[in-house]
Amino acid sequence: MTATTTGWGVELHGVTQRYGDVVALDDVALTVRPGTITGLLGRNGSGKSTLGSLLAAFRRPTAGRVLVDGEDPWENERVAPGVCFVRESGDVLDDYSLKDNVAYLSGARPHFSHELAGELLELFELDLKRKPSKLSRGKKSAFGIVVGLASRAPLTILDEVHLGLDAPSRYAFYDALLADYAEHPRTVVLSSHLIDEVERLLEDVVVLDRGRVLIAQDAESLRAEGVSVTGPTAAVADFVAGRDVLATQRLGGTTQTTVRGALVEGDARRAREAGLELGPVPLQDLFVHLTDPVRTGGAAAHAQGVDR
Amino acid sequence: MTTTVAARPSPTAHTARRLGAALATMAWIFWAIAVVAAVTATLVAWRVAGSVDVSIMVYARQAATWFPFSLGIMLVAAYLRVHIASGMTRRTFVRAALLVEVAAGVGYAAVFTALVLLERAVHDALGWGAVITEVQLADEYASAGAMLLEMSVTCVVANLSGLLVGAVYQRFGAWAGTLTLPLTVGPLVLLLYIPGVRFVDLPGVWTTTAAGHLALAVGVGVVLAAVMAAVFAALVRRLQLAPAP
Repeated sequence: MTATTTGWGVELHGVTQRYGDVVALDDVALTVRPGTITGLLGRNGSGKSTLGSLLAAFRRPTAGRVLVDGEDPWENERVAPGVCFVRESGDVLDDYSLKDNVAYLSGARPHFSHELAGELLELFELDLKRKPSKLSRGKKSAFGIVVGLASRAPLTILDEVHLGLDAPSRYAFYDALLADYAEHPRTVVLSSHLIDEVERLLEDVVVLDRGRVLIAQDAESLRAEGVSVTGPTAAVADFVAGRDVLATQRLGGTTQTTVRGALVEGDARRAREAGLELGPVPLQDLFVHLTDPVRTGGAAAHAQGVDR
Repeated sequence: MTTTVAARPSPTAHTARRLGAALATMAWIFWAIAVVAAVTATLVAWRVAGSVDVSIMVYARQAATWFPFSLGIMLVAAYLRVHIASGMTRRTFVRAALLVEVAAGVGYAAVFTALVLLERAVHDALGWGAVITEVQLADEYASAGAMLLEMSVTCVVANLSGLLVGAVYQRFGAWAGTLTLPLTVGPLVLLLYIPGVRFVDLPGVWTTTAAGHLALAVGVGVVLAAVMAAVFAALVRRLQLAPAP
């Protein structure tokens, strides 16, 4: 039986995941809209991979509920084939050729596209006779991308799949993702540290920080919330008073301050009159400021994090 | 809103085919080496002693038990993670692994029995004996069916023991996996050496007929296999994959 789907939504209710004493996710409540590309951002050890593991039923949460397309994914025969979680180096048969791997993986994925797989294998110059264990880091990542995209799973989670890829290959990946997503809409959760590169792909953004959801909103409104204010130090201080200041840089008598919060009517005029320059803040800068351990506290706690 | 996804082949059958192909490849290699070794040993013994009155092939029993046992451990380590990551459940992996390992056990036993009988025919033709000195119930006078049944139970238990060891290592880590080896491998060792009763004179249940011994060994083996399969299934169904591959 086949049904047209534009992707599966995700809900997490009070989800906590512990590894011994380490809390990887802490009482997370989150919704991922179906049919979107959602960026999952966070520093190392923030809980991104753990979140993906829970959605793909690699693990069960210590507490709370995970719902994928309305159901608990754990040992769920309906949901399992529709969730594709590609981790850094991929979960593949290391000692079998890529051809054997494609044959095995495709047989388990109801929407697998051999045509797309063939195109991507060619794009990334992957030899079907090679074994994953013999591939370079970049080529392994490329094969993970082939699996992740060609599976066309209603919920596709790509976790740092670009590691080791050179810049042309990364951009080829972004283009291939967008093109196939446009033709075959689905829910894509994309975890990456290269925020400036993936920013253009993202419709929604989730920022995790030390296992907690810091931000979960659409990318457009998040970008609009970040404003840089540049000008004489006193004028800047006056303008940003009472606002959520994320960062401040000073050079001589000039200050640049990054604030979060949409501008209100009259702000632009006031800034102009005070000799201030207002500008957008790239998503990556917003992310860096928002997750700055000094700003958010708990730097010591962060230092004891594990790869999660 | 819940939606369905397109149909796909049975996940159990899909993974069983993959596992079966992997084990079949290793079986070809194993039996090729075993036959070459047995023929070589027979030729050497013939050159030295002038005749060979014992079964050489039957010494493959230990190797035919422990080699597939080790493959069972590998099978869990190499395939379970990939099976789950490919969008299939632990439940279907358990079914596929049990199906393939039971079939592999019977297959190894069938090949073993056929080779021992072939060797016996060759020895008969050459006027040699074919005494079985290995610690097993089926001696040189036992029927092919008895030998096949005894070896099948041993091989199946060995394979399930391998799966069990692999599951414990995957679920609880290296220390627990090693410390529980007496529990996970002990039953196999027990089954392998129960046949030693035919070499000793013990009262009670042991002083029974050959058929009685066989029934006892098979009964114990079937119970052990059932318990191991149940424990393996319980362990795998709750198994959580490590955060990073």
